[in-house]
Amino acid sequence: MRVALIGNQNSGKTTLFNLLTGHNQKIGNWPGVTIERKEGRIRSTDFEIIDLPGVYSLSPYTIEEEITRKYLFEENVDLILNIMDSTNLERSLYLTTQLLELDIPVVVALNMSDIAFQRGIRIDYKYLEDKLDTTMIPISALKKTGMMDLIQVIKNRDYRKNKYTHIYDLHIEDCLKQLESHLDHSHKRYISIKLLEQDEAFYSYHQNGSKKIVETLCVTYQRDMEQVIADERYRYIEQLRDEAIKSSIEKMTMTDKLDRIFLNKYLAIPIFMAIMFTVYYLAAGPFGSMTVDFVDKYVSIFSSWLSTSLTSLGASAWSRSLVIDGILAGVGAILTFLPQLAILFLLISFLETTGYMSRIAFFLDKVFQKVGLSGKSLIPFIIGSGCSVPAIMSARTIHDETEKKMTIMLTPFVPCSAKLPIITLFAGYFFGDYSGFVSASLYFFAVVIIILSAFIMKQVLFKGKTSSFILELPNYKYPNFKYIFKDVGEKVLAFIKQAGSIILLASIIVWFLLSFSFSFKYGIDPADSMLAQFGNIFSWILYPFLGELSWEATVSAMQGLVAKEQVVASLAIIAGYSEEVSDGVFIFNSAAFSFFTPASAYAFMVFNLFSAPCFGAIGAMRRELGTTKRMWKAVFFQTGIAWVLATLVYQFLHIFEVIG
Amino acid sequence: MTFTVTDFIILAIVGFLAGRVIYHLFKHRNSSYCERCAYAKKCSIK
Repeated sequence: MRVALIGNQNSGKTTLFNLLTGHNQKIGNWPGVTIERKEGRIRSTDFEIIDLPGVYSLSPYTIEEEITRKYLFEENVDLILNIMDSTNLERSLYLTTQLLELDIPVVVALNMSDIAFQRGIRIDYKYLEDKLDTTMIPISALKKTGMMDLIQVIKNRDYRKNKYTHIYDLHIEDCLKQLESHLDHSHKRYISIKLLEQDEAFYSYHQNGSKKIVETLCVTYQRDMEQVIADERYRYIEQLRDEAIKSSIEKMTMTDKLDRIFLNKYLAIPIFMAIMFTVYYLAAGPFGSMTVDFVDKYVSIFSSWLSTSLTSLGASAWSRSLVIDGILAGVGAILTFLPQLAILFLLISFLETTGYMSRIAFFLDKVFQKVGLSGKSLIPFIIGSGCSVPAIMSARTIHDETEKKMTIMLTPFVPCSAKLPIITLFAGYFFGDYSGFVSASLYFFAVVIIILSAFIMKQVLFKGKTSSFILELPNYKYPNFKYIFKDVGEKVLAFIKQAGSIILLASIIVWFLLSFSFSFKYGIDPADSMLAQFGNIFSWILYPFLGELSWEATVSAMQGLVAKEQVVASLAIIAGYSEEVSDGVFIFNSAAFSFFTPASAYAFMVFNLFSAPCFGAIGAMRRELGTTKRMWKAVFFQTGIAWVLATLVYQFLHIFEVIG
Repeated sequence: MTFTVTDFIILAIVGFLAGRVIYHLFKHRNSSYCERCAYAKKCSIK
């Protein structure tokens, strides 16, 4: 027997699936998409159960809805286990009434029945069971109550076989009966409704005369039939709600109270800005810089010790240089930023686990709709603050092709973890006490540029309607510290791995190119090195926003393509080769980078923030955009925007430097 | 450029580390972008 578990997003579906199956699970992906597919066996039975993606309806507006509909329609499902959120029955019933139109028995698990009770919501289950002619079991997946009853009902097949009908008005019901008489398939009622809604996917089911029936009804209503059916469904649901749900004056929950503040029309955006400012101030501001100095001190001590040890062991100048000036300078420069990143990961994870991150998507949705992006684009943007690769991949859940393309092209603009070392290095040195403010300003700058770019793209390239977005707002929760530390630990480990692999390899290559000339002569002036020759070819490109022809900064910026952290590693290696010209902090006290001013430093950060992402993210863009040509367009678009913005920022800020 | 025994040992260690990184890049060249991304091993979307 095959059971399909289906419900709205955040209805507790996965928790219920885990409870029903225990460890007996198989995890994979749905064909062609990275949406997770979970299968398992219900405990103490040999019944197969599949966890379908969370959906709000069976209309194929999203990929999740398409997958769910296709599965129910094409696979031999014996039972639908529909999980409903008891605290939001009205919305859950929309999907349930659609499921009941299929020729598959439905058992409804009324989840969060305990929370509904606490909130003073009294549900007349018997009334609902009779009206919908389906079996309903109140459960709490979180408190694990009602599970045995549910398993017993499924195991003994002790459930109603749904003979529920008549929810639409008489015209529609008559019409449905006529259409059903023309059909020779299972799911007659469901198909008939789809024919009435003029759903293109069901055109092939039209038989002689059925088109005429639909056309006649369309003339009667003079409206979009899909809308008519939806209105009728809601009318029926409202009627059910009035009869089955008795709600005492609903108590305001903590979530309601907090949302009054965090989602307040006037306060939401200032609060969001204050929170993000605090996050960046703590991570990249004076406190974060202190941690960098602390680690840097120990890296320097280790470097001196290693250099002395290698000399005493008989290492030549070149091999010592490879280890100290190449590997340790590059990898060490990156690792000094580890505490700062850990602080950032910790704070972002803290916001995620409390439920605040979902609110950002909620209140920015309106702004994004205005510029042609749906709120669904916000999910990749939020993921992008960690890494662009999964963020770009997550854009595939956006149904609308133009919105998807725009989101993929704009996601790398979000400052990812790998860009943080560049930001904190420059902000920390050039802006001192204001480093936190400058770091946060780049985050908001990115948001503004994303909105502006989307607006321009929508006006020029991708004209059309913006799709709507339904977002489930989870309740606020006390932070789960176990989850936070696990999450931060995983990300910190990933950063160390990145430093020990890609950065290590790139540092060796940079050292080699910097230490040798094209005639493979060692011990040359860095200006005669292969790296310098290469950088000199392109240094004019960065001149408008650096104010200096610098092959050193040019090759470092280009290495951002390998990994954004490599920009800092390269700066550190090149600075090590350069003469010290001041008492300032390492890197900026070297002749190679002493030309940087606050204006060019900010412009350099802007360029690295918006220019083409690393190869990993470019590869993900290629895959999601579909063709290499589109990928190149995106890369040139991003780098072009980065160059223009960096130049504008530099030219503007430089005026103050000249006046000052 | 002179070569000492220590230099050869250093070269061998660095070569091994670099080779290991290149081997892993080569080994996972057909893996998904998510699997190859250091920060996103579990980037399936639900």
